[in-house]
Order: sequence, then structure tokens, then C-alpha cells
Amino acid sequence: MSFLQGLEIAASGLRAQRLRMNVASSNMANIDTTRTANGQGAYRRKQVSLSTTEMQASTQAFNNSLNQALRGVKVDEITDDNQTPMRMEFDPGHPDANADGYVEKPNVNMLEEVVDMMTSSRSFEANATAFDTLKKMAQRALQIGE
Amino acid sequence: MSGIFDATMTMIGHGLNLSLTRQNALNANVANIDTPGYTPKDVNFADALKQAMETGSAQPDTLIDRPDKAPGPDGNAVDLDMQMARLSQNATLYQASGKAMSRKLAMLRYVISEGA
Repeated sequence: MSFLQGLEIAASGLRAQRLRMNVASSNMANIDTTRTANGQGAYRRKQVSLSTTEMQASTQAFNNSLNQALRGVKVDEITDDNQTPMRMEFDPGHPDANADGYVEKPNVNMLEEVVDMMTSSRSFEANATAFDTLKKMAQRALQIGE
Repeated sequence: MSGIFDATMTMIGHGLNLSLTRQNALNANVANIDTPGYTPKDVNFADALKQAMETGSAQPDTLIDRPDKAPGPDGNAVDLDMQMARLSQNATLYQASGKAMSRKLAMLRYVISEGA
């Protein structure tokens, strides 16, 4: 069991939460985007799937069964949200309006994105605190015998 | 350890080791706070220390599943407040063990230097 592994686990949490934040930012930025690069119509809300992942120890010597029992976190995939229906807004003058005068707008809900951003921000802080605490422990261990 | 290093120092050493294992487990729980289906891990400190003193090293089954609450809709059973409280407690215990080890070594040094 090494310090480095614990720090790496905390770092994996920081990475995952930062990516969740980026995805929420992307969703908010594209809240009114009606055209996407591949011509697939309006932007679809992106969502993040997290899963546990085995942490690789820096050297084989540390790679014991205790280390393998602990899991970090990784972003499994980023998928389009095809469950939530798209918003249909009546705007006949819009270049992307259909025959009935309705424009398909992204299925992004501002409130949901803000809540997502707040939870990932808090989780990020928790991981940063965990990282810092472990770092302080390592520093204390270095002082033994001084 | 033998000779000038006594059983207390061996115990403090195991204590430090177990505290580190526990801290790593708590770190993993915080990292997986949003992972669906995750059950938090923990170390039963008293049992693990007893086992370590008997066998001489920490055993793999030191880590246990310890859900903080009934799993939510996504199957995750991590409670952030519980984890952060334990994180803080455990770090303080580690600091105390480190201090105790320092004191034991200081006493040895004092004797070796004939009280100088």
C-alpha cells in the first residue's frame, strides 16, 4: 500500500469531475444550437457515464492484492441523451423551421445543467481535500526520526 | 523488529501502515462518489491491527465493504459527509502515530547518547 496509489485515486476523481464540468459547460453553451457539424439537426444533450477502474501501481513491487482491491474512477463514455424529447419552438422565420413553422431546439435543460455543475464542483473539492490530507500524512511520515 | 526496538514500535509501525491503507480506501470512496453501483470500502482498524500483530503483516481481507446508507437509485452507497469526517479522523490518528514513533526514537537516541 503506497502513498502514490492513494494520490492517484484522488487524482482520478479530480479528472472525472473536471470532465463532467466540461460536458455541462458544453451543454449550456449549445442550449440554442440548431445545427451540428454532421448535419444531424439540433444539438443533443451529452451525458457522462462513470465507472470504477483498477489503479496501476508505479512499480510491480507495490502491486499486491490490497492495492488491487481499491478502485479509482474513470469516465466510461460520453453519450447523447436520446431519452429527453427535443424542444419544439414556433418560429416560422427561422431558417431551420419545418413546414409547420416549428424549430427543433436542443433537449438541454438549463436548471439540470446548473445542478450538475454544482454537484461536480463539490465532488471536485472533496477530492482535492482528500488529496491534500494524504499529502500532509506523507509529509508527517517523512518527519519521523527528525 | 528486535533488540533495541520493542513491541510498541512494531505496533506503531503496523498502525501507521493500516492508517495509510484506510486513507487510501477513503480516497477511493470519495473518487467514486458518483459511480453507479459503488459500495464504499473501509478498514476495521482494531481487528486489522490485532491480525497484523499476530501474523506480522496486513492481510488482503483487511478491506471490508461498508455502505454509508441504503444504495440510492443508481446503486451508489457513498455518503460524502461520513467519508470526509473519517478522512479527517484517520489523518489525525496517523499524525498521532507518527508523533508517537518520533518520541520512541527520541528516547532511544537519548539513551544512546548517554543522556547528553
